[in-house]
Amino acid sequence: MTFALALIVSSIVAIIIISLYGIAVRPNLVKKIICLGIFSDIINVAVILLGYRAVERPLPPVLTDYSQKGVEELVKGAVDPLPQALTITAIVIGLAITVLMAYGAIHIQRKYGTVDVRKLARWEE
Amino acid sequence: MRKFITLSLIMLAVIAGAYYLSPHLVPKTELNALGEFYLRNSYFGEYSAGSPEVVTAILWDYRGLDTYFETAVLFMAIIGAVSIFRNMPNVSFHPYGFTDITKTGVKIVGLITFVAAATTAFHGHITPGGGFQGGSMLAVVPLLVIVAFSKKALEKAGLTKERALVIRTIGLLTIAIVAFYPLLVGGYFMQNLPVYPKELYGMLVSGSLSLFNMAEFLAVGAGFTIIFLLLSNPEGGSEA
Repeated sequence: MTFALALIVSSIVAIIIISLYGIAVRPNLVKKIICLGIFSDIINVAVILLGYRAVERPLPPVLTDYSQKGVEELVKGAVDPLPQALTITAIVIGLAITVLMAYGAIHIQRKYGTVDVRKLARWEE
Repeated sequence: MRKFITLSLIMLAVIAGAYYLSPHLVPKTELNALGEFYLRNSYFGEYSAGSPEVVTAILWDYRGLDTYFETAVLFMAIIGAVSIFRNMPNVSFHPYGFTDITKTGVKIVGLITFVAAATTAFHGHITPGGGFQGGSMLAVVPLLVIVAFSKKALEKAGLTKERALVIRTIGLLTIAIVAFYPLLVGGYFMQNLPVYPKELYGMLVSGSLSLFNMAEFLAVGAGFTIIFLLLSNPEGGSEA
């Protein structure tokens, strides 16, 4: 159980490093946008992991049995709802940012015929 | 080959990191007090939001001010886009769109997406989902239409930028009215339960939560539609 959790944590760290590498090193604008999307998604996963509980069967924070017994079961097994509520708005704003960047890349491709930042910056003539 | 070696090195590093971390990691089994308060009070309890869906209850009731101004941020972003693109000539390109197979597929998928988005938004106070998620799903439909048919097809079907702005303004006005109404009857700003009914005709509406969800559904969906319509304009300005 602890090892699985540690595996998740270390893969989150690895994915953050890989996506930052992609944003910084890859010359293709589309790949930069994809890496930024992965980066924001993995940050959301990390935030949701903060609310995780290592109980036997974790429940989503939704009441299904409308009685006091159901509430007790929910308190016993449900994950923390607060990080999930905070990520929802982050996802929507992230969608807006991704749309803006994707259309920017489309227009750069139309105007200059390339999305390679090396060619756009004229590093290699 | 080189890619394979890099990949296996990364995998090894991840597993080694997990081995190193696992003795130091203490898995959390207890809720913190705030989370437990939300879970206990969202449906029953003294500070009830009347909603079995705790995330929606937090979003529109306990942390309602957060979400209210989050909506304001989205509003300002789209108003910024609209005012920047205001004098842009309305031109369309790709007049033929994709093949008939793609078009038929988009018709089917668009309908299903629309229904799924509406279900997600309108049941947001009972099941996982809500206005933000439903609105984002709704905005996928015009995007698909723009890509598969053309921008002109969307505008010919009646969804122009002006109409999307009207829909969005209706959504935002509803949010503002529902948020300000409790002040008139002596409550607090964005107050939920004693002001609005928990059940209407035997249906669980969770006070203002379902109203907020529907309004946010319209606002987010139409707002993203405006952005898609504006940004799918080809460059038609002067050659500088």
